Amino acid sequence: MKKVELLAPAKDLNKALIALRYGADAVYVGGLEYSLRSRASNFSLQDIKTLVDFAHYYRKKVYVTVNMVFHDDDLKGIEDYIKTLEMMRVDALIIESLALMALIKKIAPKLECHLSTQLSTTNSLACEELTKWGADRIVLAREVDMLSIEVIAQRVKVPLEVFIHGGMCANYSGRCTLSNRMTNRDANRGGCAHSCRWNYDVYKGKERVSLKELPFTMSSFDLRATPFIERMIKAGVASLKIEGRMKSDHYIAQVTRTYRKMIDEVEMGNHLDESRIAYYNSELDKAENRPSSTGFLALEKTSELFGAKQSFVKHEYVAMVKDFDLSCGYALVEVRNKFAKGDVLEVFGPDLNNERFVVEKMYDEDGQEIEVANRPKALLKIKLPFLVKPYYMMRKVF
Amino acid sequence: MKKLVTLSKFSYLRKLKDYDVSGVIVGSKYFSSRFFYDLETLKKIALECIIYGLDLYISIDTLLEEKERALLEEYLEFLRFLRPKGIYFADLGVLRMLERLHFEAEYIYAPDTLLTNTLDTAFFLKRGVDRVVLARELTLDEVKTIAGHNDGKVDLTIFGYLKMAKSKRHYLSNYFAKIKRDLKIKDEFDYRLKEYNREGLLPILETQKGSEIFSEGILASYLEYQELAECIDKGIIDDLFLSEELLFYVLKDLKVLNEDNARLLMGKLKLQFPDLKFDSGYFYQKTAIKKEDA
Repeated sequence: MKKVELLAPAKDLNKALIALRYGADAVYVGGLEYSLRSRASNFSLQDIKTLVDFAHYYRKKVYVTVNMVFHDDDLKGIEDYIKTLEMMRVDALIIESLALMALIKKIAPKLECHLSTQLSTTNSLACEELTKWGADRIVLAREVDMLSIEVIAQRVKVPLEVFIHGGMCANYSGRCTLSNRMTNRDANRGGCAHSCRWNYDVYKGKERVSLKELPFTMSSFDLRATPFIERMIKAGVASLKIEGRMKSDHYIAQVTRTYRKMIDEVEMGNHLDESRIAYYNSELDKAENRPSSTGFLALEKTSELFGAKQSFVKHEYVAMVKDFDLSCGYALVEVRNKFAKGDVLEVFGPDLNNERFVVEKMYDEDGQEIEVANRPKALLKIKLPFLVKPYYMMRKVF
Repeated sequence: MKKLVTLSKFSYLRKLKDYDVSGVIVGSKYFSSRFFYDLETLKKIALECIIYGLDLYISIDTLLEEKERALLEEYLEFLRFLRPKGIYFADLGVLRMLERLHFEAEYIYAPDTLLTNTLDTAFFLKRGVDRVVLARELTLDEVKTIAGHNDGKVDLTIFGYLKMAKSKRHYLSNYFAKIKRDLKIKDEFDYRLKEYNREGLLPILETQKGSEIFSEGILASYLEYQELAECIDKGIIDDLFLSEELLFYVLKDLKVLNEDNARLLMGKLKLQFPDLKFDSGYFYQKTAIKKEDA
């Protein structure tokens, strides 16, 4: 069985490092320009360089998204940017523009070109055409079902990347301009206003046929592909991709870690039966989530894709471990959200599976014992009954 | 610039030649998100195109599913006998199959939203594509620049509702199932969406292939017609959701339209159809605003 890559998103350097520490084989990030998630892009060139050095030290990879649907004016400076990314030893660019791919092949041949889901690639014929033109990897559209993924993987030589978790565009990615028309914000250039999540009335002729109390919306359930991970790996999919460059540290850590464990289990030869999938789903529930489904992976099952608006949280991320003093059993933690003495906290890390403890003693930076931790970013010492390491996370269990 | 009309109703065909239209774009129920003609009707359309001297263009505007690969091959073999002048396609898989079958026709890439710059247009034109349809989200200046750098081998929608979204989801069916309301939905042309805080009704069409949503306004490029005529190859009049009266009114206008009368004809059009909203699409409206700028 070919080893599959787990690919995680990151909005900034800190999140990228978390993703890599929690089991991602590669991360994808956006620069300050040319990226589709302009709001999620927080990587200066120096940050990208730092990330690449860190990732490569651990034999991991960094991909940079240059995936906006360019207008002529947007292309200014792109050659220098690409050359710089190649010089920094970025592993691949995720792109939509095929002209850009041709340019990259010419001026920065060490960079791989991964073709974005913006191209809506749904079949092996399109994969063949794109491969002929130089694609090093193709990200399949989220609309492709599992059986088709298996068949496409058999029919094409180019490595395939498949989304396994996170938000889904209601419309084919790249083929939606609702936001352009309704807000003047170009969805294909990083400005998506999520007009698909707004409320609409439906009319048939002149008659309103929708309900005021349950308005029409295109908003979709998020994707959670847990029942299909084993089949994807066995089909030879090259990369399993998590969506969510806007998500929190805790989300990145929890989701990445969960899929890491799933992949490791399959690669060790285990079968993921219903109980194992239920376990992994319960783990994913601990990250903040919107209602999820298996999307289009399950054939012809689109009714559950309708109308997801609310998000829910079952666990609240409250602190990150910065250090641990073995001699006294105290952890130095950085506060993220409020917690108090007597709360039950769950600790997890890249190599620690959910250990719980009751907060008994904690001290602030001045050594004063406190009852409540409620200042974000404050450093505290907390007594723990087990060993923890930096970058472990603590969350409150509801 | 030659004018092509999408042919939503077969009965329009014989009238078109009188309106200086050079050809029609049609599709079938197999690989189209908006045409529902069966193959026999396609044959009749092809025959009438010959009789009336119109060029026949076939639209394959769906994104192919893997399971449709063999069907596509069969469909193209069928189309071969209709001798279409060209094939409009939205999926590069269709291009692959056309090449493989050595299908003799113009290959016209029409990916709705994706062709927005000079370099990408040139990329396809150098790789076996004869023309492209530019995205609708371009300013007039952008269209002129792209066309100018690519020998005018571009087509553009010049009249009609603008497609804003394409989805595999069956939006209306899902919604009405949720609220337990039994309505005929598939292939019905009179559904509209209205966003809570906005005026204007957005046409929505649901078919077996999913859903498509269109602009509330109708692009009417009367004032830009002469400039477009000088730089693009085919101007497409999209008749989807248009009444027969409006379609032929516009075709009559376009036949006589020139720099001097464009504004007058535009004014008359608005008076003639006061309930409809006509606009200039994105010709003067850049949509480059990002979230942080809003």
